[in-house]
Formats: sequence, C-alpha cells, structure tokens
Amino acid sequence: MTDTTTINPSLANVNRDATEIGGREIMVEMVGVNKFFGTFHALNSIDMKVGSGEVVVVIGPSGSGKSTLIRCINRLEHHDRGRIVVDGIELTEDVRNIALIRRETGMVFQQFNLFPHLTVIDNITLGPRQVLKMPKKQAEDRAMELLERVKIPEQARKFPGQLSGGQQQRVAIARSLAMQPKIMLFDEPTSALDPEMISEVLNVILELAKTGITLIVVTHEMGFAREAADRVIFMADGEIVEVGEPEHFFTNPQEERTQLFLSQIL
Amino acid sequence: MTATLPNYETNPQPSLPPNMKLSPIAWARKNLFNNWYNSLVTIIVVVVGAILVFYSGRYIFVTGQWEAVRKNLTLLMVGIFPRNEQWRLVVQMYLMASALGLAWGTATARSQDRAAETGIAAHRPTPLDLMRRYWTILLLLVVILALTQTIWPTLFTLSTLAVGLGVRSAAMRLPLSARQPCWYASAFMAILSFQVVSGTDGNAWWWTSALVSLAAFHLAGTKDFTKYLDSEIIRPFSRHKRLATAKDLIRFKQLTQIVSVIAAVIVVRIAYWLIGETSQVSWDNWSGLYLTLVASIAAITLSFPLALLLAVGRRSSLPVVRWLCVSYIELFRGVPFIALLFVAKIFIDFFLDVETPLSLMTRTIIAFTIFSSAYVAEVVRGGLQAVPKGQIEAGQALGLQPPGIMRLIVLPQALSAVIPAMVGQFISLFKDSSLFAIISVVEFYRARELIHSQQEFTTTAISETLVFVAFAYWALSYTMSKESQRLERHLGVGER
Repeated sequence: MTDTTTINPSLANVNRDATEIGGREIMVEMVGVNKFFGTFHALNSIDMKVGSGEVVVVIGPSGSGKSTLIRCINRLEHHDRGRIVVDGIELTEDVRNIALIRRETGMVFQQFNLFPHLTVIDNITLGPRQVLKMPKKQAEDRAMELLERVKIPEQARKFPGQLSGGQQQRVAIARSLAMQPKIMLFDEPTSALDPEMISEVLNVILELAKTGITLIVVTHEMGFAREAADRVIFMADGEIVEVGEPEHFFTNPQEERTQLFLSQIL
Repeated sequence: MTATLPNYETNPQPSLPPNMKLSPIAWARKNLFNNWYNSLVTIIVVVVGAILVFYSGRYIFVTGQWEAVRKNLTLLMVGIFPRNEQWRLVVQMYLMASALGLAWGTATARSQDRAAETGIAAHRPTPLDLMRRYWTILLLLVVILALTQTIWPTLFTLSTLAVGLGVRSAAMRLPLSARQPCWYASAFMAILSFQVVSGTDGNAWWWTSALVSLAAFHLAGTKDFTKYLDSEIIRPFSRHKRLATAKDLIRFKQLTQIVSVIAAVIVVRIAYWLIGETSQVSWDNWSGLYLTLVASIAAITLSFPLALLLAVGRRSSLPVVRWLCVSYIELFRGVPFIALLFVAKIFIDFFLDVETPLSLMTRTIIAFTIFSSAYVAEVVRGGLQAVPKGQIEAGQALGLQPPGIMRLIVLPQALSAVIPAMVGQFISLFKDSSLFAIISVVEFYRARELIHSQQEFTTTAISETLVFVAFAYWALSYTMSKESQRLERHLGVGER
C-alpha cells in the first residue's frame, strides 16, 4: 500500500513516537473522542489503543455505542471531538485522508450489505477493480482464492439473494479482504443470522484472527470473545467501562456494571 | 400416539407433489362451473364475448369503409413529406436496417463471448420467440401492408428485414478486433440515414467529420489496432526487422491517430461534396407516424440522461446545484405541455436572438424532452431513495468515491426498481406526441384529421380512421410495456 508519509508528511509522525502497546505497534488510536446524535451523547471521551495484529472484541448492551465506535474508525460516522489516528493517518475533514483510511480498513456489516445487482464474484472484484485499478483477470483470481478461504467457491456466479445468510456474510468478509486491509472491523457480524449459521461465520473470523490482521469485532457472542480476543472492551452508555484480557475479564470483572451485564447474559 | 403419524408404508413417495394436470373438461368443471353462480357468470361472459367478436369481426371484414385509410395510407405514414422525395425514406430504412443489424449482431457476438467466459449459456431467442415478443408490431405491419395498393411496400419491407438480418449474421462472424469499429459504423450509418431525410446544410459536414474523426482517433489509439498495424503491415514491408519498443509503439500510435483524423475529415468532405447540399427536404417535412416515432424515440433517449442528472442533482450536497434542479423540475412539471409547445413555437424567438431561427421540429423535440425529463427525474429520484443506506456505506467502506458509488451501486439498483414507472412515463410521452397538432405539426393523429378535411371523407369513415390510428398507438405502446416487463425479469435474475 502507499507510503503514508508521501501523502501527508505532517501526519506521518503523529503517533510513530507513541509507545507500543503490549509489544505491538499502534494501529488505531482514539483520544478523547466524543460523538453526539442530536442531544444524545453516543460516545463519551473514548480513549482506546489497538495494536497491530491484535484482536479486540467490543461488547456491551444495545445502545451503548459499540457500533458507533467502530463506524467512527472508517468515517461512516463523523466524530465531533477528539482525535482518531489509524495507522499513522489522522482522520480529519481532508477527503484524501478519509480515502486512505478506508483503503486500510475493511468492514463487515450486520446486514451484510452485499450489492444485490452483482454476482458474488463481481461483488468481490468491484473494490479491487475500481479502487485499486486491478486488471479483471487478476482480481477474479484473487476473488476465487478468497472464496476458497471462506469455503464457498462454488457460489461465485450466483447472486447474493440466492445464498443463505451465513454464505452471504462470508461473501461480505471475502469482499472486504479483497481490498487487502490492515484492519478489519466487524459490526455484529452474526446478529442477523439464524443460529445454525453463526458458527460458520465465526469460524471464518477465527481463521482470520490467526493471520495477524488487526481485528475489531463488535459482537454478542461471548464464546467467540473468550476464544479469539486478545482484549475485551466493555462499553455502556457511550463510555468504555472496562478493558481486560478475556480470561480475567469473564472470570473476575472489576466494575459493577460489567458484573451486572455478564450476569444477565451468561 | 402412533395413529397420528403418517403411514409411509402405503405412501411410498410422500415428497412428490400431487399431479396438478387436469383434462380440459375437468379443468373447466373445476374453474368455470363449480357452482351455480359461477356457471351463470361463465355463460354470460361467453355470450357477451361472442357478440363482441361477431360485431367487431363484421366491422373489420365486412362493413368497415377502409377505403379512407387505404387511399390515405401514405398521408398517415409520412404525412406531408414531399412525394417525389420519398426515395430518401427508403434509403433511410435500408441504412437503419443495416445499422441496427450491425449493432444487434455485434451485441450478440459479445454476449456469446461473455457466456463462453463465464460458462453460463446465454439465452438465444428463436425466430418463434421473437415473433411472440413482437407480435403486436408484426400485426400492425401486416395490417398496414394489407392496406397498401401495390406490391412494392411489401417487397420493400421484406427486403429491409432481409438486409437487417443479413448484416446481423455477417457482423456475428467478424473477429473480435472489429467489434469497436462496428459500434462506430453502426452509429455513423444511423446519423447518415437521418441526414438523408433531413437534408444537409453547409455546416453538416463539419460536425459529421468532427464525430467521425473522434471515432477514428479512438480506434487508431486502441492497443489491438496498433499491434495489428505493427506486426501485419509495417514490419513485413519495412527493411528494419527489429522489434518495436514500447516507446516506438506509442509514437507509432500517435502518428496513426493524426493520420486517421486527417483521413476521416478528407473522406467525409469528399462524401458530402459528392452528395451535394440537399436542401429539398428538411426536418420540418417530417410528419405522420414517422414523425411520431422519431420524435418519441428522440425525446425518450434525450430525456433519460437529462433526468438522471436532474435526479442526482436534486440530492446533491451543493445547494446551488440542488436549487437549480428543483426549480427546473418543479417549473416544467407545473406547466401544461401545450403551453410549453406554444412557448417553443412562438415565444422562444423573443428570448433567443439568433439569425437563423431553429426549425419547428427542433423546437418541438426540445420542448418534448424538457417536459418529459422533469417527470422522469422524479421517477428516478424515487428509485434513488429506495436504495438502502447500507449499500452506500458498503461502497464507502470499500473506499469508493461518491461518483463511483452512484454509478456502480446506487443507480443500477435505483433504475431497475423504477422500470415500470419509467416505462409508464415513456408510454404516456409517446401518446402525448399527438399534442404537437396544436402547433400545426402534422404528427400521426393530425394526419388522420387531415383525411377528413378531404372532400371525399368529410363525413364518412370517421370511425375507421380512428380505429386504425388507435390500433397503431396501442400496438406500439403494448410492445413497450411487454419489453419493459421482459427487462424487469431479465434484471431480476437472482435478486431478492
């Protein structure tokens, strides 16, 4: 990918001097981020650091701001105050920075958001061909590799509407991966799925976690959080309440609100 | 407990659906005569239907005075087009047949290639399929030909079809590299065909050669063409047998482009010099069904892209663009079409201070386009709003820029969602062309009125001409509607 320093030199050393986190280079950094929807305070002074290759799982009750948090990282939501730096690039009003950050991040949505008018393979090759200007043949070869990886190569010429929910979500993951992102954001990837399809999607994400890509996953799947996460972030009312390693977090939560939440769902 | 379970022993194939095929009598008994009131309704419908068929059959084949239509068929078809210049229309039909045949053949060849590439067989319509698809148009053609007095129109129609189909099958056999030139040739033939019937003034060769040299510039710039020239023509005849470098090829390409543009201009100039200025006819001579068709097709093809721009502009984040689009749409949707036509005919000269005023035909088509684009823009906007926000977000997350998101993601979905409404708009537009009569443009319906200004038919055969005209409008509108349904089904493959 393009060297960030050539694009905007003034931003290049924004966080290069920052301390590493857990022995990793910092990939996403949020400092004092605030977000309002009208008068509703969706994010309240969020401070967060995610290291390169780290798997972070964000949990919390609905309306707690989990989705808003990760949607701010690739500017699907605009943050009102504070600073967000992704891989050394600060999110500002500058559209070039936004474009750059969106190239480095892939996103998987709760409702899949596949393009219904395109076949599976065209869904996957759209980004590489239009944004990275990759030749058609190369893009399709890559797409087939990715479909092998998510275990549905035989569905390549079908339309999204002909697939099951689990298959659609796996296509959506392949579509994001086709852009070779450094960071993958998952916004409740299994919440819209029938129970028997959840595991097929989670398995793909687990596989992904082993490849060293940075993952930020918003989910309600506690089993997944326990198994895959390097760190678990618990959010409530737009604030980060507690952060911890999964073993410690699930067995011995410190905060009262965390204890209450876990007691309700486990 | 066990009694409630189905007995699979006596029912070995429980998964098969019951046999739904009924004999005709059984079907009629089940659907038409299943109780006394249904039987009564069936009988009444059959009796009324039979009476209608009898009277309309008698009208069409026995009592109808079709002389009025028969004698004035030329008037209905081409109106007041000068009779001794009608050969131009014949030339145009052959040119159009070739242009359409070429485009059709090229498109078919392309879809076949694509099918071979993806391994999904393209559906190829058989002649029977095509007849079923266009039966109303065929019926209209048969009716018109049956009303002609000589054999020539029939022979002409058949030979036009033969030319079109012949060109099509020839185009399908052409090599891949000929495909781009074929598109251009097709477009050029279509333009030329209209110059034959509209006459050329002193400036026509200018813009024609501009178009042709643009095409030549593009063609000479394609990689295939450069390679072809290099390997097949230049190198065999050149003393230097060395391989061309990339730099050579680029220089070579630029040279070919310059040469082909100059050649194009010269060829067009010579062609026009040969034709000479043909001012015997002009756009204003167009009339009858011919005018109705040309004006409608022109307005539909022109208003569609304009409507897209307006609809997208209305949702723009730039206030000035948004206001402009809103004002345009609301203004032209808010005035009657007849008022617009009068403005186009009379008042526009007060605003536009031009030396040579625009022809009436041009003004009419402009008014028609402006009027319909305002309506179509709102239909398209409805489609844009129906595309879920998540689609746009998915595009953004992939790193696409707003124009790309609009073109690749939003518009394709929005347009396929509004096909029925849009085609409805186009059908209504097609019939609105009859309002041209108000500014004394002799379109199809006005041509019918002219029949009855003749001494012979002032009071007779009023219904016959009306029925004929109505049938022609219906046949064409019905085909549009059928085609839109086909397009919907085609685009709907695998969706939702």
